[in-house]
Amino acid sequence: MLFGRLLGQETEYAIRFAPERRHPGNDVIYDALAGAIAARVKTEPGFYPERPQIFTENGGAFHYEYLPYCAEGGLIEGATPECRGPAQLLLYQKAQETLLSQAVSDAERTLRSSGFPGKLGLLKNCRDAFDHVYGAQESFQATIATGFPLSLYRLLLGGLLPLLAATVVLGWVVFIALAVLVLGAALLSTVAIALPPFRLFRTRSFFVRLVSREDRSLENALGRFLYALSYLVTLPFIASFSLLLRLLAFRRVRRRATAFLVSRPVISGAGSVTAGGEFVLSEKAPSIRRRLRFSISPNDRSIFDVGNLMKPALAAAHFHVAPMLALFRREQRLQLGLADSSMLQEAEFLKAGATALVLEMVEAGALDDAPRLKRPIQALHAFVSDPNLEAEAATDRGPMTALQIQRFYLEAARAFVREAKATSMEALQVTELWREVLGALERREMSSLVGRVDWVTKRYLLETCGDPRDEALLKTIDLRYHELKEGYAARLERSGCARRLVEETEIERATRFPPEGTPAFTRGRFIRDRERSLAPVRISWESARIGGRLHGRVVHFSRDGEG
Amino acid sequence: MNPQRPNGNAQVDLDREAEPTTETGQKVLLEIAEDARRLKNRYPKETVVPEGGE
Repeated sequence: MLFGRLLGQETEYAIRFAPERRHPGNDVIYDALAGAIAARVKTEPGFYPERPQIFTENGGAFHYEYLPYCAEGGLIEGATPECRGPAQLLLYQKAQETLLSQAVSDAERTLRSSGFPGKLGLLKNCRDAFDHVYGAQESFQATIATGFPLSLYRLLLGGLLPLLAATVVLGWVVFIALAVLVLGAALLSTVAIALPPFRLFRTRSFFVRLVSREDRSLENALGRFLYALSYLVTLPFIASFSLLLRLLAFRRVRRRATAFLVSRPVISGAGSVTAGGEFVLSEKAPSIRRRLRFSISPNDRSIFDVGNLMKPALAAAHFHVAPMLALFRREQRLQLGLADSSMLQEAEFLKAGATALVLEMVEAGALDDAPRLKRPIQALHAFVSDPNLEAEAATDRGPMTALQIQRFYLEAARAFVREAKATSMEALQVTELWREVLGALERREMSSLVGRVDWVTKRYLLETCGDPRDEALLKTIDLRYHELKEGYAARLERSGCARRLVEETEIERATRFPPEGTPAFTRGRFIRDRERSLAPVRISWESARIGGRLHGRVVHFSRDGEG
Repeated sequence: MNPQRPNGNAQVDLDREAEPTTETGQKVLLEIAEDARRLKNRYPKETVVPEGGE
């Protein structure tokens, strides 16, 4: 069945707060937004008490993306529920944006009443004015390996378990030693500053400085140190696991779909003005450094981001072994790091639909003749740096432009959909839209793509409303394009200059009801139906724990949304 | 919206037109140009994210 696989998106939103007096910190803003969301739809807290996260009754989630070295500067991350097909994904992505847009005004009021008056906004983008990169990730259910490679993957993964156990033990030893050290220092400094020789200095104790909400420098310094330490402690396991993934994980997809993904920004890039003033087709692509992630560092940006497979393994440090055991499954979550945040509905639908179709074709063996790029990262950077779409990259078929590569995949997809056993209207819609957009790009009919392709639309606004000599103005247009509700993409949509593919009433409904036939359905239904007065609940993507950690009961969500 | 329809069984309508009048298009562009000029001295600074997200 076409579009039978699960897919989803994680989107980071930059927080813009223009304070009238002082900034409360983004973690406080997250609390206000989460509270506003919880006032509109049913929610339950996430599994880890130390991680601010809520799951909503439509099966999706929000959390505060905490930056260990800048606790007050994190982002809001929204995760769609698991969906089937690009139309459903578009619907739930828009539902997430609607919930956040509605929460902004309520959160502003909460902040004002807490002594932080100001203007709040959320940007669905991936690159700020200083070229710092964050943003979106796409996830697709995919086969990690088959046959002998799958058996070898499982065997080697099993062989890594003693190393993982040693990492967990070492991690706890270091953590306990550090906790004793920090608490000891806090206690000593608290006692010391009360003694006559130090009292004169009127210094604040280490403990007071550590928990201060005004000056968070000590908290951030400790966070930076802990982050570096955890990086070092987990390095042997992560490096070994990365090698295993590089050797055996998603090999078929990496071989057959890399050229598609590298050329994909021509149809799905959000466009960006870099800090150097250059217009590029994609916000994320210029920061991509490798094909497959190699470490847990956020700066290790890759086309295929296997960080989502590393995190479950490290969950063992919290004595949660189920996520680790799930890594032995044949079906895993393939996460794409080369992903821009789409603002326009057609762009969102096409991006998800074309990618899902390519994955279907790869797994069906229909892309064994796909072009292979000789140097994918160089090709990616060349493609996105050329808005004229003339840059060529070396492939095993000779030099090809991004448009030529896309044309190859589109024709293969059209044949694949035509010959499929069961006709899929949704797949036909995807290939038809893909054909329209690619054809217009090939004919350089850019004006017909304004309101349909993000980078073309943004470039049009930069040329029409900007001034090439005024970098601040250009960057403002670039950034403000992405703001929810008041941003330029939203204004184009409201005025009818950008097409809406899903009804407002459907989006509103999707904020409250989960998609059927998915794990999100049981998760969402659990949250919807639960009596509020019962024992406390904590939710994860796989299960719910009712009651305390020691005596609580764990309910596992069905993977197909039944039961 | 059909309340009998399964939850989240989404469909998209690709036939819907997106044809604003020239007047509407011009009005939005003028609004955007004015808004960007008003915000340009502070907006890029207000939207900075510390390095190392994601």
